[in-house]
Amino acid sequence: MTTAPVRVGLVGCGRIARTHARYLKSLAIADLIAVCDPIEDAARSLAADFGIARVHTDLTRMIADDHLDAVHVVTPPATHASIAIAAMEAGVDVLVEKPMALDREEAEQMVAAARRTGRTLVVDHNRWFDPVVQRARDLVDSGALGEIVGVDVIQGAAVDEVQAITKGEKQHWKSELPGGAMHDLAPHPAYLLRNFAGPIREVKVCSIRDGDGLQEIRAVVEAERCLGTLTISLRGRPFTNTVRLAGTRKTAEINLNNMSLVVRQERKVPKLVGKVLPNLEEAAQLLTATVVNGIAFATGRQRYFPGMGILIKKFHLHLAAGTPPPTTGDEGADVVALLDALWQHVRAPERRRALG
Amino acid sequence: MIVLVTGAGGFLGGRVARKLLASGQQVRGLVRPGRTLDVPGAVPIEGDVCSADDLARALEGVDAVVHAAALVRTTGRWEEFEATNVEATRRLLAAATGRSVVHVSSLSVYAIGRDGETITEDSPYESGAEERGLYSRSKLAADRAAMEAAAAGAAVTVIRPGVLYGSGRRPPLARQSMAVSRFRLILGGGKYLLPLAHVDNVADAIALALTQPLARGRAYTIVDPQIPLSDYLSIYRSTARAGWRPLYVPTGLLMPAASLGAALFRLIGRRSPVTPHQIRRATWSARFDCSRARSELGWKPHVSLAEGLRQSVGAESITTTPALAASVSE
Repeated sequence: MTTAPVRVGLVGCGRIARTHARYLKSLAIADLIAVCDPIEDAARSLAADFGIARVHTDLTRMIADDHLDAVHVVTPPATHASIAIAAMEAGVDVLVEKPMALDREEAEQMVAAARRTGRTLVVDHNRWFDPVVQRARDLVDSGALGEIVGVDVIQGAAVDEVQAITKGEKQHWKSELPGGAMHDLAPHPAYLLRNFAGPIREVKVCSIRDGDGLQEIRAVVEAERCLGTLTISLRGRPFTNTVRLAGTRKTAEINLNNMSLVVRQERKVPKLVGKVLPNLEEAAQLLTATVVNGIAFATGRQRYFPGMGILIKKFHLHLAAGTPPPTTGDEGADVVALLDALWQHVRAPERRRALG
Repeated sequence: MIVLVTGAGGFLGGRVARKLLASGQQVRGLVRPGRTLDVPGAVPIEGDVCSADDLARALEGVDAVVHAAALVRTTGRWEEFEATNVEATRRLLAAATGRSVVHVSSLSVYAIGRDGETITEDSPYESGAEERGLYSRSKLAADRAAMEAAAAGAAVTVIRPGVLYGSGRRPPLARQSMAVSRFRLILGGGKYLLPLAHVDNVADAIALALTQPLARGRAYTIVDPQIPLSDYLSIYRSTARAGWRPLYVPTGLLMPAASLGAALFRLIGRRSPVTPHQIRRATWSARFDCSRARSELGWKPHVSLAEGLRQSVGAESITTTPALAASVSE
C-alpha cells in the first residue's frame, strides 16, 4: 500500500462507467485498479478498453483482493443501496451515481451506514460543479444577487431515447424505476433546487400523463432559503435546461445546455433607454459566452457537462488531502425525499381516478 | 524511557519532544547555550551538538536519542555544514552505542532518475549532491554514516521526511516560486507532486520508530499523500484566501538558459547560481512510497493536508496581528 494514489474500483460496467473510467484515468491522485460486474464480458470489455488489470464479478472479493481504498458505484439505481452499504462495511469510501437510492428509506440506510463505518459517501450530483453553475454559485456567495427569493429549475428531456423508454419501445432499467424514464433525469434539477433554495420543507405537485406514461411534472416547494419550482418536461421542444435565481438585487439565469449565464439588473435610465439597454446587456453576455465557449471547445479545454470530472476529482482530493467532500449522503437523501414526493403524487389513488 | 532530543529548540525537535512527553516518556532537550526550551515538562540541557563533552554529558542515563539537530541554511561554508551535520552525527552515533537512535535525515538523499519515478527506501542515493548545495551534501553524508552504523549492528533508525510544515511554519508554494505583482511564478508545471510532510505526522513516525523493534537498522520515508501542485495551490489559495494566481513557467524555456549560464560561469572558473541539475531536481517529481512505514511502524498521516494548511496558515495570521490586537484592546 502506497501513500498515494487512492486505489479505486468501479462497480458496474455499463455506459456511465466509461465516463468515470475516462475521468479516473486522467487523475494523478487516483489509480483505477479494478472493475466489477456480474456480467463478466461487460467487465472484461471495459477493462480491456481502459487498460485495467483486474476484473471481478464479486464486490467484496474485489475490495479485499485488490486492497481498494474507494469504489465508484455506477450500477442501476435499484442496486445502489445494497452495494454502497456492503462497500462501506468492507471499509472503502464510496462515490455513488445519482439517484443514490430508489426511496428515502434506502437513502437513509446508506447515510446511517456511512456514519456507522466512518466512511465517506458522496453522490454524483455533478451539475452543481458545471463551470457555469459554479459562476452562478460564486455570484450567490458573494452576495451580488442580494438575498435569493426564488429558484426555478426546468429540466427537459434531451433525447428520443427517453420517449422510447417511456412508451415501452425500448427495454431499459430506467423503465423499472418508480418515476419511469423521468426518474433518471429528475435528480439533476432536484439537487440544483435543493442546494440553491436550501433543504426543502414542503412540496406541492402537479403532473400530466398520457397513454405513453408520465410526460410533464411540476412542483412548487417551500425551502429553507426561499420558494422554488421544479419542472420536468419530456415533450417540450427544444428541450430546456435552465436555472433562474431571483435575488433582491439581481437575477441570474443559467442555461446549462448552452453554458451561458445571464445576469439582469434594474438600471436608473430614461424610459426609452430602459426598454433597449437590458436587451443589449443580455445580448452582450450571450455573445461573450458564445465566444468563450467556442474557443474552449475548439481547443479541447471544455467538454459537455464537465461537472462530473470536477466532482470525481473533488471526491479523490477529499480522500487524499482531507478537503471537504463535493456532496454528502444527507444532500443525496434530501433529493431522494423530493423525488419520493413527486412519484407519490403520480401514483396517488385519487389521482388515478381523476385521470380515469 | 528517558529520551534525549537534539535540536529540541527547533521546529521538528520541539514537536517530537512534546509528542514523547504526551506518550509518557521523559524527555531531555539539547539546546544551544543561551537558548531556552519551549517545551513544558522537558528537561533542558545546554550544550553544543558539535562538542563531544557536551554530548557525553547529555547522554548520561539516557535510553534513546532522537537526533533532530541540523544546520538548515541555503548559504554558508562547507566546513560549518560538515561539522554540524556530518561530524556531530558520527560522534553522536559512536557515543550512543547500546541505545536506540532515530536519525532525522532528508528526502534530498534520494536520486530522482526521471520525472514521475517511484522512490522507496531502497532507491539509490543522490549522485549529484555536490551540485545540489551544501545542505543536501551534508545530509547525504550523515545519512550514509547512520546507515553504516546500522549495518554494523547499531540500533539506528533513519527517518527521511518530506518538506516540513505545520503550525508555526507556512508550507511552501512550490520548490521554487517568485512573487510578481498579482501572480506567483512557479518553476515547472502544475502536475508536480510537492512532497510535503506535516510536522506532527513526522513526529508520529519518530515516536513509533523508538518503540518498534522492527525499526532497528531500517530507513523510512515519511511523506504525506502527494497531490498535484495545481490542486495543492488551489487548496492553499482558498485556505489562505490569497488573491494571487499561479503562473507556471515551463522548464523547457529555462533549461537552455541555465545550460548556457553554467557554461559561461565555468569559463570564468566559478559555479553558476542555477544549474540545470537544480532545475531538474526542482521540477522533476517523484512518488514517495511510504508503505514500509505504514506496514512496519503502523504509521498513518493523521493530519490531512487540508487540516494542516488550516493550522499553518491560521498560525501565521495570528502571529501577524499583534498590532490589531493592541488596537482592539485600547
